[in-house]
Amino acid sequence: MTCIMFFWENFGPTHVDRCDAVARAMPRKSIVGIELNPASTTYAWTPETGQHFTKRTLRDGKSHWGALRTAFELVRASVNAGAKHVFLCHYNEPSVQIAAMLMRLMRKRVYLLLDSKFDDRPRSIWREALKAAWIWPYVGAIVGSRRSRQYLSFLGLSNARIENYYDTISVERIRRAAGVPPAPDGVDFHDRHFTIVSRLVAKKNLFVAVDAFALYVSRTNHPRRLRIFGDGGLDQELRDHVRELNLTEFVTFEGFQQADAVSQALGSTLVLIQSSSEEQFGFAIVEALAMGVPVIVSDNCGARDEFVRSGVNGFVIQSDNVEGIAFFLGRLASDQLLWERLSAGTGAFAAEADAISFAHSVGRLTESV
Amino acid sequence: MPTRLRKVVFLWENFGPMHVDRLSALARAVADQWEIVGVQWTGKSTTYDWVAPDAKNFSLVTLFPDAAPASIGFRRKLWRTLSFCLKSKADAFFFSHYNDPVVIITSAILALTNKRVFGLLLSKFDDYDRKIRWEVFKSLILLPYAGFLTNRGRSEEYIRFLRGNKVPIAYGHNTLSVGEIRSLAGAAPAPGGAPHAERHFTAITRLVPKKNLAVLLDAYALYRQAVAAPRPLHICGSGELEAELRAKIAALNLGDLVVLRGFLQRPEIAHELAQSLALVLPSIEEQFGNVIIEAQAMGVPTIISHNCGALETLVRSGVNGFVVEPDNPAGLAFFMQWLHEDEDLWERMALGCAQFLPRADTPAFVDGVMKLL
Repeated sequence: MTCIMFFWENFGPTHVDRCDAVARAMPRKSIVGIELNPASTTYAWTPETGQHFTKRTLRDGKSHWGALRTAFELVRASVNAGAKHVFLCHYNEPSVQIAAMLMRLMRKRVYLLLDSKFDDRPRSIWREALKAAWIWPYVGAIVGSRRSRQYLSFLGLSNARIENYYDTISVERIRRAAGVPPAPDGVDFHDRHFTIVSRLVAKKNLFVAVDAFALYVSRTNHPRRLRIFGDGGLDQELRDHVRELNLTEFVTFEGFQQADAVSQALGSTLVLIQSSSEEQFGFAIVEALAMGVPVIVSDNCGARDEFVRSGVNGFVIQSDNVEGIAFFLGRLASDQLLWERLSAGTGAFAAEADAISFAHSVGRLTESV
Repeated sequence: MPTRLRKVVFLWENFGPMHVDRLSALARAVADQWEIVGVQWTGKSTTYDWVAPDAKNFSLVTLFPDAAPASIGFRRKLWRTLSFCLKSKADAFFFSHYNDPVVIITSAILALTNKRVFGLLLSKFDDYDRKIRWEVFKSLILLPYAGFLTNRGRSEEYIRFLRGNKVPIAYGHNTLSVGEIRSLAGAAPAPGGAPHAERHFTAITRLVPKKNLAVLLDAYALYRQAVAAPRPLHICGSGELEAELRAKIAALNLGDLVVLRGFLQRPEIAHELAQSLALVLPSIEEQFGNVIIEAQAMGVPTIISHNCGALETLVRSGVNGFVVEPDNPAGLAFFMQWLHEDEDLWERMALGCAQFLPRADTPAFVDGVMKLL
């Protein structure tokens, strides 16, 4: 039985979604998930284990390994599993690079999982030239967006060996956890609130989102609530900002919530706002679409490329555009027909964002060998 | 005793109205310090059918006054360009067409002779599918430049990618005379002038594949189905796709509503915009989109694709127009319908055009050039 192995630092709900989808779509393959740590260094999510694939954790969470040891353990895991195809995230980590090179020398097929884009941050030609050499072990890739594809193709990977739909989710899991039908059904239009699901860090550009919300509030007699889900270093500064704008009765900070609680909140959401100044993808966007929720997203979000079309299932704005965000919030909050139309427009995109799309990409790469 | 004016040379392949606008404004602003010289290879553009106004306040030299653009050999073009620049005794040079072999060699030689050479560059990373090897080469051919006049956002980021963070950069590359457009239009900018109900949609663009006009027609067909009394769509421009577009217009049964007006000179463009409800530009590839400046000069909201380089400088969705994806005819039709039906919204967007327009008026070009000089 051919083995396909996936590696991430830690498995959260979306990683399990994707490995499960691959396992279901390819029942004659053995699917193995390898995580480095038992808990994420970035997210406070509860570690997940899938139903249809085998997951293994390399470290116990207390020990500290250098790059060589991590690479060695990763290679050993692939050998023990008998993996012929290995999909690796975190290509910029030296440990992953060493492992990728060793695996390639062992004639394994090594693939890159990537959602970086050229426009994520200022780039330097010489660093990118080094990166082009850095990716030589990879024979293919699954990317999160068109811009990721363009970036990887720029670095030298053949376009024919790049597949889409890296960042996908189980639509069925989201809907089941929400406990209500997706919009425009379910919770009544008038009872819905605005939602932000985001780490509270600078690149998420949350002060602009809050300023836009304040502008919206100033223009309406009965403003809707804004619920902010997430934690991070800017928590106190954001709370202070909300207080200064006299918005405390309209804005609630929900802290970090597990996936099920976020799905439930999306079940009563009018619009998801994601105005990031840097966003490799933006998982909350596809989760919102799964619940029929229109989105207002900045053009920095990688998810925009495949899953958002302005005027169809949401609106795309510029990350410095406070006035524009407020304008679209006002329109969607007051025009039920418009909201229902955009909500209905999410359906096709939600289907495309399902983890089965990822499984098909894995299938195309591994079966074309 | 009068002091010698310093001299600066600007090279474009051919001078159109906007190039004349820029250098006229610069010459007026720095007349007591700098002598401004424009140089063009030919009197006719390889891309546009424009007729440029006479140079005002600056001298314009045509290196090949009688030659057709495509007929000039490399060696002849290099010799005449290089000898002109060396003989000009200019203190500084601004070159467009950084990837033209003649410009590559000329800029390198001038830099080696301690002349200050600046690049006029508006490319963005996302214009094409790029390859690292060619970008490394490009970073080398840009080494002679002492700085760049460009635009905000992606063009600036692209230059910094190629040349690093320390290279001097100024904004104001894509500018034109807002006053001139208004004067030629002979009408007040929107929401003044023609009433909302009498305005039509306008596209001002070359009829070439990258302008994505098939999607525009698909969007217009959707818009026509969605409203009771659709407004006409005027497409102004010429190009290789004209026959194909006429066939598509016929196939979609839009012949009575879509008007192909051909290439229009600047005064006619200004008149056209004075009657426009919105300018539509859904390009797949668009380094800037100068027509967006002309539209905003006349208070006309724009519906543009995010590929347009003018986005960062001029357009904010929901403020003075809307931004759509180039593969999104349904969204384009949706925003056309909004502006068609909602006069208050249209007025608000028309007023919003003034917000960023100074960034694209010729004084911004003067500021940018002087910052570099």
